[in-house]
Amino acid sequence: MKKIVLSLTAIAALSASLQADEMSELKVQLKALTKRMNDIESKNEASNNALIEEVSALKTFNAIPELASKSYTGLGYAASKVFYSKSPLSIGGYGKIDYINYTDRTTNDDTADNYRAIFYVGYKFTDNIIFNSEIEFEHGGAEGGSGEAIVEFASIDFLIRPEFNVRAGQILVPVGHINMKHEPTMFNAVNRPETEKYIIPSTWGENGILTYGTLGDFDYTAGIVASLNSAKGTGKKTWRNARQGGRESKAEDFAFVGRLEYHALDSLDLTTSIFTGDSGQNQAGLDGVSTTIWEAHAVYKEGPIELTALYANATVDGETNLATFHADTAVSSEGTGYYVNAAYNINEKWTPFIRYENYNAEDETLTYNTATKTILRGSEKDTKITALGVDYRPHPNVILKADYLLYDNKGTDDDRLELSMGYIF
Amino acid sequence: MFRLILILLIASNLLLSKVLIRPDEAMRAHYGKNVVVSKKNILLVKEDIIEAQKIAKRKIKDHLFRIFIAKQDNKVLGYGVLHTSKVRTKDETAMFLIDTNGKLKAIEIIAFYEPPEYLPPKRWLNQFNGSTTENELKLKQDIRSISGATLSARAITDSTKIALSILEVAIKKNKI
Repeated sequence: MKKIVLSLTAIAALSASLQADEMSELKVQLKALTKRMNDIESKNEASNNALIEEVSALKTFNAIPELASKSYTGLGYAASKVFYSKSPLSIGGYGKIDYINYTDRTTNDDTADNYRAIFYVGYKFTDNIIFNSEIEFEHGGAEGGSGEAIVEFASIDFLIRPEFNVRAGQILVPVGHINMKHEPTMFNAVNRPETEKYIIPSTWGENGILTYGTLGDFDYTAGIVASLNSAKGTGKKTWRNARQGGRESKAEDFAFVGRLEYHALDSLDLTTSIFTGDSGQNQAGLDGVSTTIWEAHAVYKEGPIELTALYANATVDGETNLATFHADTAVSSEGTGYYVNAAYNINEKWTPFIRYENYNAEDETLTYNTATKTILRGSEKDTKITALGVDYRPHPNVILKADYLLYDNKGTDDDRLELSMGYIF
Repeated sequence: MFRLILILLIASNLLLSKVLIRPDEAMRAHYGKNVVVSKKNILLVKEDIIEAQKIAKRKIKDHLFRIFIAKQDNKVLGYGVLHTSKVRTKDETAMFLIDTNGKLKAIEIIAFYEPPEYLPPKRWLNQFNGSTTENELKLKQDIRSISGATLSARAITDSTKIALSILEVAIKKNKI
């Protein structure tokens, strides 16, 4: 208080001592100063705004070069494209490492396997011509043992219009649920259902050409691929081992492939697909041998609930020729299977699930006996698997899985404990 | 034969570069053909971002946002917030069309650089319509995932919440 009184006294004294002209001089100076301040402020604001506009334009250009290219000032389109165009190369990948403990077996079969390490490489030539590939190292690679280094697919998409596009090259055969979506984060259990291994032989890549598109609530795919080679498959693996995988595939016979997905409801997708064609590949003894594999499946997702159900059927026509060709070895002329999978997402991390599966890849078998020159017909028992397990996702792209399989292998108990770590990027 | 098909395909105007939809077209498609569309670039300072992050419950990396405004007879009908996020290794840019009550009208994918099978289908995007900042938008809880495109689903789900929150803060702070 004392200080204020003192200051006021000082000001009063100062004012009194100032001459009137000095006073008006000061006023003018103050006015000029205020004007200068305002100028600087508005200039600052203007340059700030200009900066915001420029950075924003650059940012948009960076995110969507095609869009910004026309409006962006300072650089010609071609030049700016060189500087700012997105890299057309795209890299992704996934993999899984599994541990399986065969609890019912007395033999030492337990395994820890770097089952899959996979890299996707894509290249966008233009917005409408896009290359995509999947290169797979299975079981730790190719050096000795049963490892594999293979191309699962390598194809080019020609995007023409939403209703009609073309994919050519080594493609994933569009049959089944898992074959198209086989990353470990896409299914709950450690291993994919065996129905989609022995009845639908996924992962199944083959050379061919497909057309695909969307018509209203329907997505369709139709095309031709090099057919299976029935000279290679017998027994439980009549279809699985007949895959050629695009590696020097015999292309004497082609097969038709078709797929129709119906988005019945927002939460329900219904799909059916078929592969059908001759599969003798013009080899002696396999005349008239043909293969048909079809399936139907439904996927229902509502809130935290996810339900999947699939039925599949595989047949071989000309089965007597097939049996004679593989003399003294059983071949299968019909296999069927189905599974139902129910999962509940407790939160973003934990997902318990249950899967029941019943399949028989040898519903009808034939064995040609060379000694008696007769064909013996038979049938194997079903395999029934109940998988109970839980998935944990510490990160959306990393999954840890644990499940226990109540495994009835054609009447013999063969339970397993499975653990897996999967990733996708 | 195969080669001939390829050449024909390439020759038939395939090479036209395209964006899925231009932002101004997206605005007119949702707010009406005759609306006046303007754009505003807004800079949110650190405290604005912290506030928006609290609402979004997601981390927000950007400070600068481009927002489109649809007006008719000088009356604001709604906004379109652009947001870009990473899907796998590539970006997608989406426009979030939000009305004056802060309710999401629609999502339009403006540009998408991952392979087309990762592109979220329209019917999947529709489930966000009507969302506000009040909605948690948790993937696999409130929002269905996309089979085979979980990463796209996650990118869009997070972007939606961010766009709604950004607009709320921008309006509150008189930045738009």
